[in-house]
Amino acid sequence: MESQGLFDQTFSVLEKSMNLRSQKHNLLVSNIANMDTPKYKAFDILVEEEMGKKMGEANKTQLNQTQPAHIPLMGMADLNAPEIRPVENPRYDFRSDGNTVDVDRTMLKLSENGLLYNASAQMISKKFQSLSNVINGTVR
Amino acid sequence: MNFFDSMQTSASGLAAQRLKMNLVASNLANTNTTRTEQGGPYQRKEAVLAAGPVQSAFGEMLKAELGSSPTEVKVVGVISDQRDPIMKYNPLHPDANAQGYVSMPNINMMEEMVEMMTASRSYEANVTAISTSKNMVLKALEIGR
Repeated sequence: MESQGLFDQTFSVLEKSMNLRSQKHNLLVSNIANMDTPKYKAFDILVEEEMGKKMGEANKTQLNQTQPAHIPLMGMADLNAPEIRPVENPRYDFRSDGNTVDVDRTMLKLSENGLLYNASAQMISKKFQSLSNVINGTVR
Repeated sequence: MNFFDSMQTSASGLAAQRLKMNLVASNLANTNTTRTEQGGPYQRKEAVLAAGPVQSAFGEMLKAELGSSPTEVKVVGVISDQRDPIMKYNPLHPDANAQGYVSMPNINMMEEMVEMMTASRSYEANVTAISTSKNMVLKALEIGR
């Protein structure tokens, strides 16, 4: 959502942050569900890195449809999709089943991610509230 | 990809851990069982877990096949432990062989206890994940209220 004027850039930044955090949440949850699955490889999204990267170069690369017969790019091949990377191997790997989930770190990331998501939601909510205050001329 | 997928993933984790717990209970209950439908003493049961795509949308499944997308955990089978039974000398037992030995299930109490604790803690971790998902959804619903 590109917004301007009344709805300034902050909204789209917060929206992007919430999007990324919810995707990260999904990955973390699947890492936790699979903590006993042999050979499962843990995945993660580095939200901070994605936020910094995407601001400048989000619209640089695009595929144009120059012929009507071209198959349009659907959501699947989203160029703006965050990079999902495997969690680097722990230095002391004591598991013999090839699983790379570190439960303690994952639980920590889960709660941290949830809190930051809630913070973004709260900020969007407050922004809407201040807009409403300006429009109505009253502070509720 | 949304929060309900993540809850489904956690639910699959809960189901898998509960099944492991059931198998532990069955192993512990049958430590002295010498007769089964298949014949012979009870054999220890163990769950085989595998990661698989969340069964919701085609796109999600495709992404999971391509490598990196949330995956839920599936129980692909329950295997019987093939280790040899413990031979116990008890000539009065009806299942004793000609030498007077009875085949008893080879179940290690410590092993089962450890399995039970692990399953229980994993279950708790999944419950925590679900409650975090729920909190995030509720917070998102508060926007604009």
